[in-house]
Amino acid sequence: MGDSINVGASGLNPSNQTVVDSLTEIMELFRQQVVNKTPPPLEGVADQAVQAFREINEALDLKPAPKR
Amino acid sequence: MFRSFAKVLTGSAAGMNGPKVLMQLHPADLTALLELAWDNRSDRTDLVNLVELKLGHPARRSSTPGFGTTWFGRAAYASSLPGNGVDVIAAALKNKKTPIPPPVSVTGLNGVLWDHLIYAYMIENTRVYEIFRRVVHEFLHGEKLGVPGSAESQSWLRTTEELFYRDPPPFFITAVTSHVRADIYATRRNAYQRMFAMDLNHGTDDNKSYPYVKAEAANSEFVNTFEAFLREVWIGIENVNNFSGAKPTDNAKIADLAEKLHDMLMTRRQNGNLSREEFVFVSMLSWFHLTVDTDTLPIIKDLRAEAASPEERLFKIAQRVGLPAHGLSKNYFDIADSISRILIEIETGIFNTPAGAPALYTPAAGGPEEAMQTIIRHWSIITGREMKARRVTPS
Repeated sequence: MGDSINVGASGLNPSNQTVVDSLTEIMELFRQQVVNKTPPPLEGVADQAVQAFREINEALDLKPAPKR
Repeated sequence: MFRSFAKVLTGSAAGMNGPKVLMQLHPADLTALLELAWDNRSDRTDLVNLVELKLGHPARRSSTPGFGTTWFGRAAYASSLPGNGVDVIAAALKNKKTPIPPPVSVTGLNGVLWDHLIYAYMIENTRVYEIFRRVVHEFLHGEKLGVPGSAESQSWLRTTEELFYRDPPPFFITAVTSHVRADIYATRRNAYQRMFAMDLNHGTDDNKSYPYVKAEAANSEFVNTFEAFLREVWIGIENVNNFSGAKPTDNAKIADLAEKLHDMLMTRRQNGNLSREEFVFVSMLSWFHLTVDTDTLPIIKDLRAEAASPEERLFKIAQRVGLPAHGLSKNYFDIADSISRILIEIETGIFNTPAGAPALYTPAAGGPEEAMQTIIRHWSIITGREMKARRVTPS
């Protein structure tokens, strides 16, 4: 209790400031996760794999070949 | 194929009961439709995405000629079609066949495709084939089950006996019995053993193991590899919305396992091997699946088996004939379509690189992720091994 305390410009101890910054960063990531819950759209080969799966389903159901 | 035929009929006119109409067709017409489906199968021989498709690929399953290439067959196909539903299904089969160029599709499919052999394996594990064998036996030998109560049920009985409980007629694609392989039960088990190194979960009716030829060349690593694949895809599903910190999803590992599965399955399919057996067996089991799929068929009413689901109908029928269905029949019915479609896609090779892996765990309309979730859920129940847990290896 008798140790001196360094106070930064924000009025916080620098080590406390680091903790606050880390928490702020985590909260921001968490916010982004909540806001951006939908994964980004598939591209390239992964998008082709989705298309291939649709083609397989349509072929098995004897639906006419899709127009692309 | 029969469930696909029924869907085509159902979609052809308002109020049409596809399964009911299909099951009234003459067994000769049903055989002819199977032959027409084989004749119109996808047979892409040119390059797709700069890759030459080998025989055995889903878009080029077999080069075995069909009935339509013969003198007799050409004459038969040239005749006019009956308007009892045969014409509708035949038109759908012919429409499915598209000219080869240009390469408009990802898979290369340019014709009819049938389910993967795993579909037959899953449906047969419910014991539906043996249960209906007893149904046919009882109807043909006495009145323990009553008598088929309508012309429609009599028609179902005749067709089921002729198509599935006797040797198929020679010269057709369905003729997979001979002096060399007289027992079609054993032939199916042999195909399952070669492709998946898995036997059915039941033996003979008196619980003895069913005798069949076990091939030396079999995919003995299929189950281990497939389960590792399911576990890795589940990690992807769990973390698909994880945008921060370390992400345990390993696309390279998923691709390695998919490639291993692709290679072992395609090795069994070299030069179109097992394609014909697959076509016949998935068609056969789809007939029984279709029979228990709906309450509207007269045979279900005659058997007093109306219920809310296929497995409940099967349980009722099983009880009446004194041969229990498998307790996990629901899981077998529910997994069959999804696992068939995923294995077909794996055989196209599209998951052999890490770039394709995200499609397996990322939700997308009409994509494979939903099927993967279905497989993981039911496979875990069927095998008693949890695919959502990390595999524990002894150190």
